[in-house]
Amino acid sequence: MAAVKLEGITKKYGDQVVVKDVNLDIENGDFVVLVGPSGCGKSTTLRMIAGLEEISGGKLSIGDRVVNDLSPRDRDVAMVFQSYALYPHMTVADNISFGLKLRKMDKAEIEKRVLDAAQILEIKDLLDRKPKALSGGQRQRVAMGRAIVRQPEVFLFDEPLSNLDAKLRVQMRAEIAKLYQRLKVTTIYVTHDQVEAMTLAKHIVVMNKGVVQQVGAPLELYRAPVNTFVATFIGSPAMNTFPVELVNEGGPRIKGQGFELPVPERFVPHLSAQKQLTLGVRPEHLHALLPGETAKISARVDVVEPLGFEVHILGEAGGQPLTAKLGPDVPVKAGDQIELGIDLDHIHLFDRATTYALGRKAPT
Amino acid sequence: MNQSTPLGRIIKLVFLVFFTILVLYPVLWVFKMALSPSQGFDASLNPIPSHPTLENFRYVLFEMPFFRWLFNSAMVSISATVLGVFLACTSAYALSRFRFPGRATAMLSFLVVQMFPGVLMMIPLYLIMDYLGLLDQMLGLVLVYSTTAIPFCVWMLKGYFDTIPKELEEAALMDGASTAMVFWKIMLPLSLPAVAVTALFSFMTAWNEFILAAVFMNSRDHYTLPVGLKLLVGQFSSDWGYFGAGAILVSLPVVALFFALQKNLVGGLTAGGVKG
Ligand SMILES: Nc1ncnc2c1ncn2[C@@H]1O[C@H](COP(=O)(O)OP(=O)(O)OP(=O)(O)O)[C@@H](O)[C@H]1O
Ligand SMILES: [Mg+2]
Repeated sequence: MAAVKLEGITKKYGDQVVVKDVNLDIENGDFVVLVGPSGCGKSTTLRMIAGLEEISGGKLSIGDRVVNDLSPRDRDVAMVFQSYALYPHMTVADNISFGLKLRKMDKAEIEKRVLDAAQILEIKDLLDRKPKALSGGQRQRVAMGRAIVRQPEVFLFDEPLSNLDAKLRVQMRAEIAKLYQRLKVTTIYVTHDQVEAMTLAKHIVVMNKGVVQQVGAPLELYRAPVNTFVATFIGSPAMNTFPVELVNEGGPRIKGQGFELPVPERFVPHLSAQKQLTLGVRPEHLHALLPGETAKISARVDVVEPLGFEVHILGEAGGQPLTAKLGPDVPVKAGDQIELGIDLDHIHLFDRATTYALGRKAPT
Repeated sequence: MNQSTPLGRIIKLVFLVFFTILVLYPVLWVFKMALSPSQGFDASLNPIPSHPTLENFRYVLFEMPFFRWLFNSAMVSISATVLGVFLACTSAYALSRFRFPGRATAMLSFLVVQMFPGVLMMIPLYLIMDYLGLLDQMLGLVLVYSTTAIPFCVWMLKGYFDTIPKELEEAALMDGASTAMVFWKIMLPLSLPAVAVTALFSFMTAWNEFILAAVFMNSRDHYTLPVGLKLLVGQFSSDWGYFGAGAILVSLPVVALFFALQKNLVGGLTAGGVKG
């Protein structure tokens, strides 16, 4: 187990910068999830940590060693690939023990470790099979087995679950969580599934276009996103955003297209000359209007998605697409025009020019 | 295909039978020559020998240095195959996996040299061999055969290596393998079908090659089988019976090898297309 430290890590392909100045301090035993849209540089970052991709700039340390110029075999990290990458010509047992044999480990010890791993992952009966005779979930387990027998300093996962069907994904997600609870090895996990990120991570790193947007505990990112990118990326369905203007009519108020709200007290110290703001409201912070409520917005309902325990409505409000999560018994149907109450305690305000939340400094 | 009319099927059968005969007839004729007692050239159309005998085989095997030539052929072909396939594997791996200056040029030049008939190289090769003092030496033939087979082998193997997912190698690297280990333990075992195809190709080319061997090898003891057999078909008299028997004996190892590798060959030629 070891801490991993990225200082100004950068990756360039020719002139194109795909990972830019990433600084991360990953503690020993942390579970860090890198999330971000496709092509934002998650895999590239992970592969630089693995040693599969050259580092164009910056300093990477694992434990107290700078590893920039070490080959993968000298970094003592193990990686689970999206495609599993099992060796097709070897049995499951050989796949799992390949790395140990390369390290010339004692035979008895190899056998013990393989059996232990097989036990943990419940693949004992499969040890003599070739990968082509395994299901997707079983292959996934073998790939994890190959990583854990090594007892590496760091585990790397690159979208390990994205080739599995939805049900299996939930199950394997729990398995990975259990495995981590058991081994407590520093883990860096790449995904673009934010449910995976929220449920597995101790810390989430949100990336966009090669730049780290925010690092924090899952709930921190959910409650206090630094900018509109993180705000709309974390949370499902995504946060609604509306362009609004700050006015002063007997106190600060924000005006959007067809609605107007008072600015809650907590934002007041952060108000500046900047009048063009973005209002963010999560779908779960909208509700059927209560009698006498004034913080409200009027919405047109296009689609109603009854999920049983709640109802999602998709439509339009304030000139923007809108999603709301309502209680299961709210009587709405497609085509309705309804009034929704806004939970002022949970709204977000962003500077529209910089996209950063009020009170947060935009990086220069 | 199965729903064709009876007439259609008959036409198809006639067609196939016709071409089968067309292909097999000359072979049958060689058998006839080999099994006939006379050394003449019997021009009759009947491919069945009138007085079959094994005398020609006995003569070729025991009255001529057949086993000497067989040994020469085997040594040269096997060495050329091993050397050629090994070099082709390593260069194909480099061309498939690494990006370096001159890579495209190398690929192209391998392709271009394939387009010239081999005889064109005879004089330059002769001069080179002479310069190196390798005329009338097995090593000379081995070098020539392996280098002439390499371009085809490289293209074939590179195409196959390209279909093997890069993640497999990366997984091995993460597992602690060196690049050489990745090559030996992952790439080569996974490429066995392609290696079998190229090995068979190299072996057959070397085994059957006549012109270069005839030009380079002067002493009778250094002849390979095709050159030795040519002795039987002289300018003034031709021993067609011996020649037929010899031709059949020469082709036996190749046929055997072909059947032995057949499964790999078919797999080898299709696997490149379907592997994910
Ligand atoms: N060899 C390369 N040459 C040039 N650009 C590359 C190369 N490899 C990756 N890129 C670019 O780098 C960027 C980041 O790629 P990366 O694979 O890290 O994305 P990702 O965040 O993992 O995306 P995904 O979620 O789709 O896996 C992409 O824009 C990609 O086009
Ligand atoms: Mg990726």
